[in-house]
Amino acid sequence: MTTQTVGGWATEQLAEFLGAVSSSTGRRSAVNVAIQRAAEAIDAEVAAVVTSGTVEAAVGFGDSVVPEAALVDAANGRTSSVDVPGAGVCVAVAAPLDDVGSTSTLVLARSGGAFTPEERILLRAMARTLGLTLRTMNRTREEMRAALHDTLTGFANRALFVDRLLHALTAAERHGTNVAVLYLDLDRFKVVNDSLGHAAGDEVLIAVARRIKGAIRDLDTPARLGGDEFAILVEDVPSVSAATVVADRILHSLKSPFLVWGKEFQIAASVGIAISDGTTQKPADLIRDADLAMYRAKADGQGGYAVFERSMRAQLVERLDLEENLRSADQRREFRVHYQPIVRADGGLKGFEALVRWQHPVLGLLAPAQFLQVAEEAGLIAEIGWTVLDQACRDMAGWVSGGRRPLDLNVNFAASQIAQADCTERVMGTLERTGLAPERLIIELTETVLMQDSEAVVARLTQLHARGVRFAVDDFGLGYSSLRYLLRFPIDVIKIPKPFIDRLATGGRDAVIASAIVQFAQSLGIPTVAEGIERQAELDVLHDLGCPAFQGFLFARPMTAGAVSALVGNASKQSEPVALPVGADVVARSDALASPSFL
Amino acid sequence: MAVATLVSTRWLSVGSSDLADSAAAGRAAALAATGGKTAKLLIAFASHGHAPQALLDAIAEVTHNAPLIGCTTAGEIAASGPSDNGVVIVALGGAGFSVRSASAVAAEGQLRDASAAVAGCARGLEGEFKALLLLSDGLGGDQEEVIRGAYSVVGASIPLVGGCAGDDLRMKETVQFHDRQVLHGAVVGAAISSDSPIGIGVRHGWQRVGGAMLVTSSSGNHVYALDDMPALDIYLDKLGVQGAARTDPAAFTQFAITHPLGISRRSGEQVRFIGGANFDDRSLSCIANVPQGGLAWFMEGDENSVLEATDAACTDAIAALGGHKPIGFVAFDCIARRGVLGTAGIAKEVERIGAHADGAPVAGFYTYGEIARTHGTTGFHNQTLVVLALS
Repeated sequence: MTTQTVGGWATEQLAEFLGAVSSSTGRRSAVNVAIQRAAEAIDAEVAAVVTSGTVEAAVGFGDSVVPEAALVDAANGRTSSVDVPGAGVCVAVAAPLDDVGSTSTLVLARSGGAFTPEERILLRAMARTLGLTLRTMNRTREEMRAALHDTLTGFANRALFVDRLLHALTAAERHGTNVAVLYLDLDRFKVVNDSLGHAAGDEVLIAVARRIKGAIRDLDTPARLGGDEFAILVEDVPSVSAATVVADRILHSLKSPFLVWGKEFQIAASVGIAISDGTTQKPADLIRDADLAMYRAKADGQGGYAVFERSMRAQLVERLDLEENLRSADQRREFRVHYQPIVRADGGLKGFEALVRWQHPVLGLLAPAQFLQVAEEAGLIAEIGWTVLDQACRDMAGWVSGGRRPLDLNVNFAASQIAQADCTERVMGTLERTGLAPERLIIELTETVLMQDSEAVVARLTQLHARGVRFAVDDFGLGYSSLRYLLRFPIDVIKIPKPFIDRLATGGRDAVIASAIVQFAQSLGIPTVAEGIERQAELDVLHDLGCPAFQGFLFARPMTAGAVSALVGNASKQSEPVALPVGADVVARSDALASPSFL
Repeated sequence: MAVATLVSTRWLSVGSSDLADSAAAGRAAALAATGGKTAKLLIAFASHGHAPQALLDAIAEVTHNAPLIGCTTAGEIAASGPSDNGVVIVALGGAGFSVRSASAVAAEGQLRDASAAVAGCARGLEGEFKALLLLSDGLGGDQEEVIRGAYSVVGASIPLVGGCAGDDLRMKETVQFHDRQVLHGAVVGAAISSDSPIGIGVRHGWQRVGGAMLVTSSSGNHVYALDDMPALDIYLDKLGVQGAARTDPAAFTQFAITHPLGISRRSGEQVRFIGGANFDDRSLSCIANVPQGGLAWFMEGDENSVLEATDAACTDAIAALGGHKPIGFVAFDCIARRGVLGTAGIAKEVERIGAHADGAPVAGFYTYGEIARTHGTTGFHNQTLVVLALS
């Protein structure tokens, strides 16, 4: 037989080998086909794949004992012969598969004499072909796994969770048992993400997943449905209390602090529980019910759980109604801007904070607390913010025209507004259109917005600042992160929030802390505005601390644009600074306090 | 008639009958083969024309239910010469032989599983010299799977030998026998252990016609294109086929049995019997797998080359006996070789086999494929003579 003939023969054998191996459906089948075909191609009695020191598969020994040690030695090149029952001492050759992730070797042994160089080349080529096939299979399997699992936590993804739930519901219906879905949402996760970045957020999610896994049974299915939302499928649940026990266990496991990048974080979660009712239910319905219960748990106070009740569906319908109306509210011009005066220490009017109200066609005038969360979740908050800015600038421009004493206009901005690439242009465009001088506008930002700490946000704020717009930190001291932002961002005003003010007059430790916050702000040389002042005693302390400006029901509640016009018009006629008599015409009623300064 | 050889601990004898009545033929052949002795195994080859159940019942009756494996044929071989429409029975016995038999129907074409199940009969069989004799349905799929299935159980420890059942070239249905059972689409087998060597020889006698072609389209046993041309057309043209064989399936099969396909293997080549053609899609149907991407060529044989192969196969089988005298031959001879040799030629061939046997009895049948695995892993053949020599 000439070399040329052997070469042609070998090429065909390889083509056949590739065809047979690549049509296999899994590693086991590919390896079995490969050893069979390799033995046939080279006319060998024995073919084996040795993987990580053990024989993965072998042909030639029938169902008698495979001489594992000899084959492993042959795979490692420590021997070149294997004793084969029925065939005697056979010459052995080995070739690596080069399959990443394992050290597999194809071994052949033949009684018919030594292997020719051509046969060795063929053997190597077959080994590489098998290795390549196994690698591809591995990748395909990983891709399939990736398609059904959350890459971050390794938990099932929504698609797999729904599928498992479907099977569980079918089995439960057949066996007369119940399944529970626990819907878990992390509280305040956004703070971690916003302050430390997404990489740290991912670390937290991985740690949370690990704790959830430790708190449930192996047969329960945990899933990450997206963001910071998890779901757990608990099968064979005898009662509601059995499901709440699982929820308790999970919540308890999350109680100890999370250490992320050397920092400790306290992260709680809210859990909603929905239990199958033994009738035909769709997975999506059960997940939705658990989600609704989770919202109830959140509303009841973070770190707890709630079990789904039918009434929650009605609330959902209400919420969806509200959202639908909210979407067209701007078009119908239903948003109203009210203004709460900000007063200087000398009693003169410093300016107004613009606060949004919604004139709902059925429900009447709604305070921000009644619709802003829905607006945020529906992604409508930025547009509402722009509407308020436009209206407020227009109103203020009217009030300060004609050379009257200038007043400041404080307008709240949402994180999503600042995040918009054309934010600077929109602000400047609004000012230009309405004729309000940039120096009159103070944009209020929460600490959460400032903690985004992104270059783009810094650049936007700096640009606006350079054109005269000022910035105030709203709810100063309520955040959870460092005060670095005070150095990075052009901050002109610090607003001291109501919770601190409330404690000023109480004495004791709380009062000391509140005083320290006020003094700290003062010591930074940044002017402060104390918010939410309701009592004379609070005002007295703030006066003593040297606080230059105040806002609160003690002075005035938010008022309509018409009322402001009357107020500033009157002051203008008197050519006097606008002054509000302390305590005059103001009744601090607890049910009227719901005007959080967010918008 | 009967021919028998007696060795101290082993005996093998052959009986045959050409009686038309199946029960009578079976009874006559069995009695001739056993001579009233208790056989450890009967191997029966019968014409497809016989009524199989009547045949088996009669054999069982006169042999006191001696274990039996067997099949229908495309012609039977006995020391007296080749025959059609007959029955040939090999009987073996004596303390030196141990035998176990088994059968399995290949459900949904699972030939490999069926063969593995049958090979299980070799488990625990004691003795120095062994062979696993397999008879399968030659029309039932890729016969290489029969080898793979058996090899997966016995490995290299036991040689495989045997052949594929025939149906007198009707190419419709073959029958396998196990004891009194009449089986279709089955693998039947007997693990034979002996205290004296067992030899196996295999040879074909074909020569290439024309150059090699690339199998550009094939699937399993079907060859659709050679060198990108319809396989049937290139076959008819290259071999210069004239007349009815170009259009008539029966005439084509008659022509094709003497003009097989050769495919490339490490050993040089393997021969594939072409059982038929599809005149609509212009494909060729072989008895075993023809891999796509491989090289193939057409082959033909003449009397001389075929007879030379006969001698060589017998010589190989005897050589494997290590000097021990044969007590009998069982031959598995491809129907295609019969086609080349013709009626006179096959008589000559059987004579030659008998000469090599040196007086020991000879039996066998014309097959649709042969089994012989003595080394390596492969063992399915076409167009060959396989000789099993017992000593």
